[in-house]
Amino acid sequence: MLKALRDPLKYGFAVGRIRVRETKMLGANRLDRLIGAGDFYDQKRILVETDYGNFFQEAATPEDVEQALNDYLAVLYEFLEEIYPEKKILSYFRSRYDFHNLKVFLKAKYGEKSTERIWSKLGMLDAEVAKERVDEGNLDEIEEPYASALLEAMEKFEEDKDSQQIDVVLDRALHLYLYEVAKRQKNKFFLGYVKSLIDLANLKLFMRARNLNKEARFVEDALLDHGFIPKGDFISAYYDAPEVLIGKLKETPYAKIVQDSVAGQEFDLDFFDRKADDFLVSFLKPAKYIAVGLEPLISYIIAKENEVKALRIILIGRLSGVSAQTIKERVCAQYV
Amino acid sequence: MNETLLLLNGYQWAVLAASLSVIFGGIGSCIGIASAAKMSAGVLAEDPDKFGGLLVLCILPGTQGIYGFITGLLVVVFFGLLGGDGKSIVLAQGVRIFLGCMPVMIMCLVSAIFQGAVSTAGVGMVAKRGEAAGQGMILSALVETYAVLSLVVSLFLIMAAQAG
Repeated sequence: MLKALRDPLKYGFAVGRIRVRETKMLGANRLDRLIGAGDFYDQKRILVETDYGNFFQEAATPEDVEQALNDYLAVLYEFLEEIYPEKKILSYFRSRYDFHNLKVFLKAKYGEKSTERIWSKLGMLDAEVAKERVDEGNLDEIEEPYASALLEAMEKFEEDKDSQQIDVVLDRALHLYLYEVAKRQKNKFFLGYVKSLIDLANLKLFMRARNLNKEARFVEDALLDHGFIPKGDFISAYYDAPEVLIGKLKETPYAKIVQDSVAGQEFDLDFFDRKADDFLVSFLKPAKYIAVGLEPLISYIIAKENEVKALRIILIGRLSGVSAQTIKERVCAQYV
Repeated sequence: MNETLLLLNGYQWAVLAASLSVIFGGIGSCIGIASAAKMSAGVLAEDPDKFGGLLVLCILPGTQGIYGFITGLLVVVFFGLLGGDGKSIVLAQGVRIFLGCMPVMIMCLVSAIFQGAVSTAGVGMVAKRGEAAGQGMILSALVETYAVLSLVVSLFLIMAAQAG
């Protein structure tokens, strides 16, 4: 009853705005048209009818497309920042870019990869300042939860000289942060989404480690906490046939996804990624029928991010000469 | 005349009945209208052309406040609370007036809040499809039925209390 009184007053305005904007989303039909378009210029002509139109006027190369989509997301986050009553929700979405950037900066610091063009400006931290501070090792100036995650990652790397530890530590810190943000919202739907996300990340980690014949100890260290599936289920099934894990998952919606991802003695990770995305979209669908509350707001951001992801695959795929059929297979189901 | 129940005499029970009818109906309507109006404001910020359909959806939860007002006003007029006649209301009659107003007090409070929730959902429909305004109004009006029934019963009970 209290929720029914509170939610319309707290979220009503924001939900009203996004309900109208949802009608302007690309949807499956327009995505199909984009996939079937003759070339990139035909695709641009289709996009002119949408709110992406202005961002693609000058685009001609995959780099331009990437830039245009990032600009679009920056404007989207700005809009959401303006209307969302809970600013913390946006930190949930934007912190992912920060953690990604920190991984890139830290690896660059240890001579792993170039940072050119692969870091994002969509996070909450000023990426250039963060890079300088990571390079100098000046973590006092970086806010939490980034500073302690960086410190732990640096210590682990110094210990093992294994750059994978940077990914493991920062991924764990990111998911812990996402879980804490969701838990603070006291919203079952949001928390369920984050827990599913953690489960899927753990499943992928399990599969990748199996494909690479990693030791169980590595998986034990890298598995994330706070999912629906206990970490013990993964560890105890690690050296067994895939059927053992599938058996442990039989009460969950993941059993079929894992079953279908088995390819001989290995797991097909591309297939799993696509099915995991589809599963998350199907998780969001019930939010369409919730009139007002936090759920439609969260679903909208995720749906827009999926739309941008789909657009990236379609446009860059076409520019790179990938066939329409392959692109169609890679584009996940859409929320609208 | 000086008999009391819970420290209130007949006149005071009648005044309390009139006041609470207006207050509870008003509270329900305020919450119901605010719910629908807040979401409508969001829709209008994006698409001002939808004002017509949204206005009716926002107004609908306001009727309960009017029913509470009518009930309160009838108690004031029927029992002479404006003049000195009200002082002659005996305890039994005052309590009957109060009990007679209860259907409106409770139903208008509850139904306005729920009608606001249905109207809010209707606003979501209009945001997606402008032509759905009529359907949203009908769904919202279904909740209204019970506020109307409570008003009718309260009116009869007040008249019965007046007849003695």
